[in-house]
Amino acid sequence: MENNITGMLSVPSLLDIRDLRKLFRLKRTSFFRAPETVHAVDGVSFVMKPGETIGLVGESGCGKSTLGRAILQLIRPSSGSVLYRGRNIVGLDGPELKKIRAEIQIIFQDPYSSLNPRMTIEHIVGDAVKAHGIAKGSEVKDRVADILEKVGIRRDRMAAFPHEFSGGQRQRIGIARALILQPQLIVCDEPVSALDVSIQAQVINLLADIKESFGLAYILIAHDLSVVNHISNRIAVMYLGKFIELAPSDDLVSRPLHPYTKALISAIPVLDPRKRKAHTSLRGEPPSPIDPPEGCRFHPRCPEAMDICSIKEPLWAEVEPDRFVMCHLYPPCRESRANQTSDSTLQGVRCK
Amino acid sequence: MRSDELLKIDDLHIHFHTLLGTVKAVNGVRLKLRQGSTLGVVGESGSGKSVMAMSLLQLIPMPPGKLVAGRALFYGKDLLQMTVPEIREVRGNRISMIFQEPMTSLNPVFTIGDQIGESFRFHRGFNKTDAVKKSVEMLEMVGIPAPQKRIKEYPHQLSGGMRQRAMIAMALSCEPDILIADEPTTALDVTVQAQILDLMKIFQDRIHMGIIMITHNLGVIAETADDVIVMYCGRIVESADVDQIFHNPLHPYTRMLLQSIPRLFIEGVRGHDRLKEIPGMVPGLHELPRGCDFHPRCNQTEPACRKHAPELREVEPGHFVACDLVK
Repeated sequence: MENNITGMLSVPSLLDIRDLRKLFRLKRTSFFRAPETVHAVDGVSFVMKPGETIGLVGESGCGKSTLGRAILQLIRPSSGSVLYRGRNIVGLDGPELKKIRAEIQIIFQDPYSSLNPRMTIEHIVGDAVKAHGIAKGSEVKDRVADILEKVGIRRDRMAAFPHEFSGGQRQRIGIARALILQPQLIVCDEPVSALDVSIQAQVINLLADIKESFGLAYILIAHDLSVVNHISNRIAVMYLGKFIELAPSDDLVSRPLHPYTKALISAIPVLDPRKRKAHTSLRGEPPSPIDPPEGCRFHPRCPEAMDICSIKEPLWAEVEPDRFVMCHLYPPCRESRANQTSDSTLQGVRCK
Repeated sequence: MRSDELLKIDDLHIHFHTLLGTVKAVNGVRLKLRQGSTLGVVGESGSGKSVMAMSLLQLIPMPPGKLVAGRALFYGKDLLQMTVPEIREVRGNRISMIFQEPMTSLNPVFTIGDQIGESFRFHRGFNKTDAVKKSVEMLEMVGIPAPQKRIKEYPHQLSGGMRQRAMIAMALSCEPDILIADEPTTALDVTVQAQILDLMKIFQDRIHMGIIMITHNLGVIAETADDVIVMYCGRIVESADVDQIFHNPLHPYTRMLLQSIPRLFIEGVRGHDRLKEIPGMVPGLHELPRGCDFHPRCNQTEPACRKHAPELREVEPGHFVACDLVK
């Protein structure tokens, strides 16, 4: 109840994710046992403002890609809501969802498999414009040419096929495709990890430039924290389907709170041979999302685990102004409800 | 040759004859590797780093490849001229290699145990039982839990990090003199990467192994390399010890590369300004530009760069650069 009331009083959000979950049922491996469930996204809540960039980091299997797709309704969530401009888009179908689709777009990781090899880039980029009825005929071609130039592809290459371009260029084409419908939000799923180092900088700069000129919001999913830190306003760290920390970008990186975040940062090689350091060793492998540990999911690998950690799951709470953590080490200055609520409810109440 | 010098490559040239023309994949490379040290090879797509590495173990099919010139001396013998039985004796035994994508480099139809055991059976003449025992020991050494169980599993049943550890177990089973690691951690999470690099270092210290670490990840180079060579379009453009490369890079490509990498805020070096990107793309190796390979993208280029291809010269003790603008 208090969610809705204070939600209406605060600044309108672009995206309000509430307790989003996605479960995958696996096939039965044995006649006698119930089929196992993968808790890919296990209760995620957060709010995004227009024009904001939230970075999403975590190891393989943490659920970050699934979360991105579940937000876009490319995967149907199992439960929870995705409020886009105040309207829940989960369960929307047909023409209603199609309208929303123009406003929330995606850029994929692999520039080689995300473009249809049988289509010219004019069609790859332009067909959505026709499909949404935004323009027809030669105007489509003009819009395509325009947007291609904005991403650094010459318009005289419109009739070419994807295989005629390099990886970096294909990624730009993917960006053009996402951009042409003038979205409000783009989910970027590992946009640069498949590219060479020198090309990564070009694409990162491009993403930052178009964010400025088009007023875009991004959900940037990446495993490279340096890239994420560079262009995000806030960063969320994910582990086994849950957010375990959320904070402003530079704060998170310079003063991480959660032991997992600390280990993640410590594992990143420093670009200076004079500053070689010992890594905080995380024991073991990331566990399987099929059978998460009891209590805090991270406790078996945590260098700072206490007794309570194996018994009780910590609450997701704001422990300092604008800093959220799910960890028994940090007493909340104010607890949120048991089902992680959106942080818009905490707007009026300041942390001391 | 110094007594601790494991490998010496002299003026290596490897070309491929293709329909598009002659691809000069390796275009005059020379390097040395010392016992117990790590040589970092930095290069992006098309730099020739992988072709160079694979050629050392005669893994490049010829044709279409062609060894145009050069030698790779390993304890005085030229690897590139060895007969098939001779190079087989070296592979997996004296010189081992691990690759980027462990899923595609491990044989999917054989168990992990079979694949690690193969080295012991082939190179050390172990029987099946002993090979299995040693394989379990190796898995334990590389930090794979429950090794007796894992021995019987297939690659697809292991995670990416575990597969890479299995590859390392395979590569190190015969305690080689040299380990060639071609992008060993690129496909892995950063926490797993840290574990794998630590593991390699432990083995290196234990058996005094030389490592050739090939990667485009400069962070990995900073962490692991003693000496570094930077490759571009099949040539070495800069070569120095790791400290010099990071604190005194001389070739424009090296400098621009270092400037284009986003760094974490904690390093206190920068805010969130635009990255200094390198414009353009790596040229196709069948159509290299005239003069210096890098000049079309270089921010310091001068007219002479278009005419003359620079030689690799020692400009400071131990520091080699292929650039006419560096004195």
